[in-house]
Amino acid sequence: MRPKGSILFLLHAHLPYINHPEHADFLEENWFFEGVVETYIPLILMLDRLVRDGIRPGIAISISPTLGAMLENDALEKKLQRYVDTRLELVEKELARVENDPAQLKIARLYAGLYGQAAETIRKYSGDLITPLKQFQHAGHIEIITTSATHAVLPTLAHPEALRAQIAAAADDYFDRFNTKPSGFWLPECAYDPRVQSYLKLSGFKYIFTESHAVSFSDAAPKNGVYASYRTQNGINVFARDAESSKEVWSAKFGYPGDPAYREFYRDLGYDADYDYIKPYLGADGARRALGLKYHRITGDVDLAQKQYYDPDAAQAAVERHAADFLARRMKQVDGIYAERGIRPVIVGCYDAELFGHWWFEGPAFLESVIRRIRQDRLPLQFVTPSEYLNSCPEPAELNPGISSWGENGYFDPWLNESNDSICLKVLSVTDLMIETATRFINQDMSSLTLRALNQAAREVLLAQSSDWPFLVYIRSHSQYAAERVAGHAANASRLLAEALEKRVDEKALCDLEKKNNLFQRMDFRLFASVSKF
Amino acid sequence: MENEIIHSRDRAYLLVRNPTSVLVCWTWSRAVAEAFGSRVYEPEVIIRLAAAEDKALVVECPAPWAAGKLYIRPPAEGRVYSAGIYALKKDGSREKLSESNSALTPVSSSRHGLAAGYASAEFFRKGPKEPNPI
Repeated sequence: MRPKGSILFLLHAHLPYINHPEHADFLEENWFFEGVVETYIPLILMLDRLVRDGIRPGIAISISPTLGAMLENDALEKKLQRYVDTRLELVEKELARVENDPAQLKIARLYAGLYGQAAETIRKYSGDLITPLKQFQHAGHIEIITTSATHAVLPTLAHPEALRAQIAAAADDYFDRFNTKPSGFWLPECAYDPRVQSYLKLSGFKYIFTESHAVSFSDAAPKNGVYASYRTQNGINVFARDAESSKEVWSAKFGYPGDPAYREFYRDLGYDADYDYIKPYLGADGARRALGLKYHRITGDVDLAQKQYYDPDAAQAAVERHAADFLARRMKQVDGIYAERGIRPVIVGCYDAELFGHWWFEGPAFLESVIRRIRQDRLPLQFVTPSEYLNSCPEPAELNPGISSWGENGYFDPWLNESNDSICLKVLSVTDLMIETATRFINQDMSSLTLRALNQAAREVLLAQSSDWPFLVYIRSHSQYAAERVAGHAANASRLLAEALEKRVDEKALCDLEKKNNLFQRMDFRLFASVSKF
Repeated sequence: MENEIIHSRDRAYLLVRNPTSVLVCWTWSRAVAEAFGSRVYEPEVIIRLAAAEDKALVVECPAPWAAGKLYIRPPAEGRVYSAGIYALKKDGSREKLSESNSALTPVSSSRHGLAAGYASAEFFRKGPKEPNPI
């Protein structure tokens, strides 16, 4: 059946770089373990099932360089293995504890399956979860793109040198990880300003994604709205996010994830169980924390204490209902756009990958059901990857997107406001110092130790620029940790730059930092040299 | 604003927050900080936001020299601005200490639903709030 329109799904997988080899247990590293078990492995297994059934997923996945580095980190891999093993041990105890309660036993068995499949997948790929994704891309089932080196919100970086470093380091990192040049670039937080264009072009990127008002407030009056791609003066293709389909999936209040049958995220065995029973599974500080075993469903607008037990079968029924509804709405949307504008539209849905599985437990099942139904129901819709679409779409109209982001209020408020602007000043100051020093050293001969110090300083500056730190401070979640990370990276960079200038690099301290913040193997500090002298 | 990095030069930065708000922030070299400390300059600096194309002044605001930041409402959207920071001398004259980068402001969006930000913040926001550490 000839498609009436296309759906372009982009899942953006990102976590800040959190690696503390000096600690056997570190609270914030759990974000990575939870992401792997609840999102990345379920997505890999979903892709695998679809491919085995002869269904081409045709989705795009953005993997941030920081997440990619964590997925390749040996120390984190060992900790991940231990995390899965201890969860399996706890699930075994749970199966015994609830054996006479059919409702809870059904849920405990669900977790036995979840952690069991995680252990099996890690074993199957020898801990290397990049490999299956690389294989899916190589076979043309999915398209993998990248984002800025440490997920910096690019418009909040005042220095063009910082833009260049964030973009160029990401391109190198992608090449080293996936053995091919990247085509697509996910603008962190969909945050666009026109300065990024030339650096994207220089690094060979072909397309970006923006929020819908980047197109509606562009310099042109695009007659096809967000339902076609565009091209900037620099030749960068632009896809704009469709607000309608985003709201259905994203919104916890109005969207599918808020259905009463779905699993409740915030009620967790780590807070419910007898303290002595769960103590062996808590961190070194002994404080209660989420353990990932959640027995309740959203239920409705009631207190956490009033939540009812989760029923996996009822949740799966909701998944099927929502997948059918999503596609019915897309069909209606596509028909309406065709009738109104005479085009076969592309509906662009961009989501954080971690929404699927981690936040919205049933998310991977929803995605799988949507993809399967297009085939089963012979719907005139198709999933396309960005490059596929660009290879077959009509010549894009030229347009310069408006400054925008997908965050609250549509601009940069979450990452720049009274609660977190001291972070911005620290980042700007250390970036200035990096540019000044890099420019001084750019044409100098130097010892290998000085070169290593300058390259590590560049890594530290990039890490300080991550969008996660101001965001965590803004939402007051792990804010102390976030503020300390910025201060730490800024201090590390300042010290290394001073040591390089004074020719007295502390090799032991440098080695420790290289071991801890060991991403961007090909980092070249010269990326930060002054643009005018580069 | 606390910032441990001391530069050899004074620095000023202009960052765009949204169509109606820009942040001007600055750091002083040790020499200038000492000049403020020893009252060579008045304790308030003047922040002048100017249109980058013709340098025409659009907004002028005072701020304590050590504040390190000031949010300013630019008068028009979709224009390129830069900020200059001036010290006031005892004789009433002004001395330009630093000039920021230039930055383009966005045009505003009042599209329905945008404020909800169907993005990352949606789920995080349900969590318990901690006190602000900084």
